Amino acid sequence: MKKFTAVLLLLIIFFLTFFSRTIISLQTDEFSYEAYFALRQIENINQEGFPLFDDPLSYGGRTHLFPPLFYYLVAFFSFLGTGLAAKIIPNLLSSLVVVAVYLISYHITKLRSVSLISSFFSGFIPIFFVTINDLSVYSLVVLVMLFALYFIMRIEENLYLKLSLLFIVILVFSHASAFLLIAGLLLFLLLLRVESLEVGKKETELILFTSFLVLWFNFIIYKKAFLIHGPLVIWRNIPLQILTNYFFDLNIIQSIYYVGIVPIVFGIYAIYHVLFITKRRSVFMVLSMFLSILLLLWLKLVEFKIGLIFLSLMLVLLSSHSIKLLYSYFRKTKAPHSAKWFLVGVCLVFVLTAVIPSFNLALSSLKAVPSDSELKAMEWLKDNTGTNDVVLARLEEGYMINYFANRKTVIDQDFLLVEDSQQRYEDVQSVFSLRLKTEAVRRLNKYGVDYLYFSGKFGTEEKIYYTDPDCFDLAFNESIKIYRVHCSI
Amino acid sequence: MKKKLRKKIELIALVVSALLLLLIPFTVRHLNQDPLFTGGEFYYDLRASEDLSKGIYWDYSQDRPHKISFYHYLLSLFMSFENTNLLIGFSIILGIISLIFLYLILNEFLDERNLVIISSLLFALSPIFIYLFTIPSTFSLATVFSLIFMYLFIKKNYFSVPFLILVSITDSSVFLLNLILIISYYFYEGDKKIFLMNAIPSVISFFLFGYLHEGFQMFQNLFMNPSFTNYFTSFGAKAGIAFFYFFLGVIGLFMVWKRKREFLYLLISLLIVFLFSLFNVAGRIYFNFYLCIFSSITIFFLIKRTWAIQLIKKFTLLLILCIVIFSTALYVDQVINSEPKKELLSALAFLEAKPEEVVLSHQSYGHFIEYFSSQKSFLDDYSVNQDNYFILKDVEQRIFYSRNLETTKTLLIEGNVKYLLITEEMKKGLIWKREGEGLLFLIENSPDFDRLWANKGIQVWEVLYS
Repeated sequence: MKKFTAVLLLLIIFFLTFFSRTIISLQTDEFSYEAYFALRQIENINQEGFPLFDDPLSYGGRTHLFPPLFYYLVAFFSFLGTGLAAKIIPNLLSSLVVVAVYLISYHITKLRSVSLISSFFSGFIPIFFVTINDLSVYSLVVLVMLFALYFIMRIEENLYLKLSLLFIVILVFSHASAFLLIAGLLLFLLLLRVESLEVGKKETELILFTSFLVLWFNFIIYKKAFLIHGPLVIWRNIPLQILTNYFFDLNIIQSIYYVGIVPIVFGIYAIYHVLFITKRRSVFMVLSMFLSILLLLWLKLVEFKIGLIFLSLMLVLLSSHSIKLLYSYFRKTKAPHSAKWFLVGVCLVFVLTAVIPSFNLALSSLKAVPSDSELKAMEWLKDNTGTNDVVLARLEEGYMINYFANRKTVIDQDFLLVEDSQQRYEDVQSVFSLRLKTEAVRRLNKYGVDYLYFSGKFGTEEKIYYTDPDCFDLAFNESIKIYRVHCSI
Repeated sequence: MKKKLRKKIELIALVVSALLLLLIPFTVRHLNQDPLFTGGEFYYDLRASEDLSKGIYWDYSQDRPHKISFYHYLLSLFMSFENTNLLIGFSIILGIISLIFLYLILNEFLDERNLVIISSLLFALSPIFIYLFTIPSTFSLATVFSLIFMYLFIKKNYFSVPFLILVSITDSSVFLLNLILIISYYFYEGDKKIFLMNAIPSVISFFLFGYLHEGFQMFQNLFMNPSFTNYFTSFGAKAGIAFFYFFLGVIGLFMVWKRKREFLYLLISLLIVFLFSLFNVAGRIYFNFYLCIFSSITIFFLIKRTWAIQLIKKFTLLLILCIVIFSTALYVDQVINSEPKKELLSALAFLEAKPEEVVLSHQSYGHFIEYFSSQKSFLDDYSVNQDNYFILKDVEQRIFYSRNLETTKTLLIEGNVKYLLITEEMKKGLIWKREGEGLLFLIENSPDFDRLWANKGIQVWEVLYS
């Protein structure tokens, strides 16, 4: 295939991915619940020039710890309108992944057709495609990490060496997930030694320098968290019940659905081939990343959804190796045309097992945004409650209340620097499930709660049982219920 | 001749760098109109020295003997000058002397001159150096004497004897560490004469001084609970090790390990010092010396190594430089922002005008209360050594956290507490985590408490006894 043709097809894949993501994303003005944290940061950057590290609303007032590069990047494009920039930029970054995957696949396979297929796969991984409304920092992290990986593979060339350093620095300033890259690269060095392959001096120097840089930078950012939480900081101080639930509802069929059967099958074959048959350095690097992410997932050191996204991308990259092997095999047979039909067949199966589920999941995710009734409730909270009032809601609703209603909340999904996160989580969960009013009021008083917000969207409870008029005024009564708490013990 | 001149220039450059570094916290605090010295212990030492200059060995404020050492006697000589800021000069001179003698000691042991310079520079930039010579204490003086002693000892000069004697009567933990090191050196080198000539007089002086001075803390605070927060300055330790010095030092240790036979005494003494460092400040001071040496070995190795990528070499060295400077800057910032600050001083000046009573506040403010306001503090940092400390601490905690007026009043009466000093830090986590918690609720809502003074988050309350 000619280079020009490949570039053209790659552009088509990119635009296909980008427009698919963006068009579906723009079907709603809203974002997923966790995205509202990012939106607040972006709006604060637009107003004050700095992210909201000292947040007066979350947990009633607390400090956030995070590298702010992603939020600055989106804020930079706020001339489009904050909402529009927040829709377009993350989807653009996620779509650019196809380019990185193409480059890595081409480096591994040296076949443009196979590389294009891999890049097409990467654009429509269901678990990754569904992030269209997440306004997630991982849209940048995944892209930068893949590019960094590619440049490290070509470190012998001076230009790529400099680019790898640049992208590593960007990654470090983007998110603590830079540790994923370090873990993968260090495992890569170990695998090379174990397999008696030559360990390049340049690679060693770069990997060790990167490890040092990542360690130091994250130490500076998360030092306070380490001081407060000790080793639990690695698990971001997430309450045990949430951590243990990561794998609770999942099964193999669901995992295959989220990743796609094609990358899984071909990826596993590539792992077998690389480990036991031919040992190729470039594929080893991808394999190391895959194994390290798997290990970190098993240790619950990385959030399940995020780990699965990285795993699936690595599987896509590994599958390019298998597809190339099979394609080359078919070309050597007496029916070399079957090689093309093989590729067509693979793409067709992928479309049926991954592209269609991607669109299904993406369209379903449009329901996982605040509904009109929730927005109405937020507006009511903003107009009818005091600026210092505290609202108790579910964990998942915390950011939304902070953003729309501009009110303090008791809990949300960021547990770093929260000393009593375990207790707080248990208390909030029990407020919704308790039947005894006294106990519930005691817990509400503990956090100085003025309003109790119940949407029924999260959790299994259909209603709150103890909200009698003695202690609770039903201040907002629609599909969402908001109770004013006027009792104390 | 050229070599000697170069050595002199290097030493002068080191001294000037150390001088400028030590002046930074004093300058910034002066510009902020805060007292130049930080740390409760320093103000306790000043108070003890003032009493000592008047021949008083008893701390009437806390009804216990004053901590006494040679350092306090030396400090009492400064009490004749009214301006305690002259102590800055004393402190800085001690720092420079320590740097010079460390440089000379390293010159004796290390063949490579660059290692000597890098080690000395790392020492000057280390948090321990800043701690010792911006917050003068017994450790500061003992460290200087100790370094002079070490230099003379390795030169087999008998003038080392008086310096070890001075160490023995200045700080017991530094003395003990020195003793262990020279004992291990004796077993390594076998020079009985110089060992005994140093050890015997100093041990005698140690026990004699302890016998004559009830307040000489011979074996107190030798073993404290090890913890991250007390060990690394990056985690908030006041007298601790910079985390990345430790990291670089460990790498340097691995490099030296290959030639362990050559550096046997260094490694043995390192083990002793490391174990000591887990439990007391003197150990950390000495461990810092070793870390500076091993870190310099790492840095020197990185400079000399043949790199495949020159760009990575430059970035790595730049990163190390940034890390070292950052660690220093963080610690200097910690010192600059430490108490006492002018707001606290204003509150204490207000209290000074009042008749002498007992003031309840967080334990860490105890020495400031005693020095600046001449009032008695309910507890201070040295109360830990008292027999009734846990009883008093329990009372203090119950006063702070109880919302029951009767209980609190009873405890306040029993403790003879007349004033409460409440700071913003106490409300933001030092004691209380939320508004209206415990005593905060009572003082705002009960007529039995009268707010006498308030400014910038600091409040002075009077307990009204009906």
